[in-house]
Amino acid sequence: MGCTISKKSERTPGYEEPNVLAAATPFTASEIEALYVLFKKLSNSIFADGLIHKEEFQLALFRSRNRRNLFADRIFDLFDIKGNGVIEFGEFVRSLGVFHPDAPIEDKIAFAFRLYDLRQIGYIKREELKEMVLALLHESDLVLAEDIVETIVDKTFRDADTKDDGRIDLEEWKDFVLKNPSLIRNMTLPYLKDITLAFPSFIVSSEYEDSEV
Amino acid sequence: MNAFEMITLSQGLNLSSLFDRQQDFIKRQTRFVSRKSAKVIISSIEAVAGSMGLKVHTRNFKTRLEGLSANKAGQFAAVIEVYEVAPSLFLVDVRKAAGDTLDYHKFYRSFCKKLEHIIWKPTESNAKHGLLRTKSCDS
Repeated sequence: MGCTISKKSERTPGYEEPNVLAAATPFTASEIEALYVLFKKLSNSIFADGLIHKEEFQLALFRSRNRRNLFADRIFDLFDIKGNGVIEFGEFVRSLGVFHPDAPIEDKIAFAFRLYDLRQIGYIKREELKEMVLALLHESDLVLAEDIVETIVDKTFRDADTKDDGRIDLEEWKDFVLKNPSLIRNMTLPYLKDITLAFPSFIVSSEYEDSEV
Repeated sequence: MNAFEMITLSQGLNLSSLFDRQQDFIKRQTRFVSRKSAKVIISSIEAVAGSMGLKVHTRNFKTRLEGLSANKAGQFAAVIEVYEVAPSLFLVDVRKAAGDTLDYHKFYRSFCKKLEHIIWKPTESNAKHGLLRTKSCDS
């Protein structure tokens, strides 16, 4: 992994000031500075351009730049707020903010809904749920008979689709999550709170001399 | 367990990997499927873990295994959760909780070998005996 040596004044494209981002997310300005160190590492891991490309994202998640994964694709697309195929620093911080323990639960619920709404039609359809179950099984090297998969999908869909209209809308999703809070357990990353303390290795490699830690 | 819960097991949805140091990273997913009853699964896991010299603590379908690392120099811990995905079909998810990654993989290989009798590997013949179109479940 390459690390470019950059002067303090050379910011990555799409950089936003820490105090601006701190106002819009649950992070403090110094936590955002710590995130910038992480961001520079991730965004220069393959292409030294200060932007996180899909392969760099895959490299970070799976330690394999070419590993394809439906869910990683969805996360990447949601983080890429501008939709220009790369994740900039501002987008990175704003999106990670939803995963902060202090982020409002409505934001987490809404983010998860958009994640699972594979074709972004505003609903989660049965076929999409089935597609995701199959993707998880495939990722786990597990094979289940077709009718077993159908049974799993059927039961979940019936529980969630309370209006019984063949699709799950945001309202039904909210109710479903409130009844089953573990559905959004991966929407909270405890390490994001006090990140400067949790990851001193970032700060050691930081170019900032006046680190608060 | 419902389908959305199962999906949350995906590595692609686990952003903590972005923050992991290199040596902590687990490359492969470690989970398997079983058609035995939950009781049999858990008691088998506990028995195998005990025979491997690990301390076992189970609560609510979640089992924690603890012990010393292979070289006795550090801690080792794994957490196992058993999920019912369909009647008589359980997904057993195994995760490292503490210790060296290499130790964990060695442990998992040995662990699975000893649990062969409960791990379900669908073959051409038994895949056809997958669940029949069942009446709706009460659970």
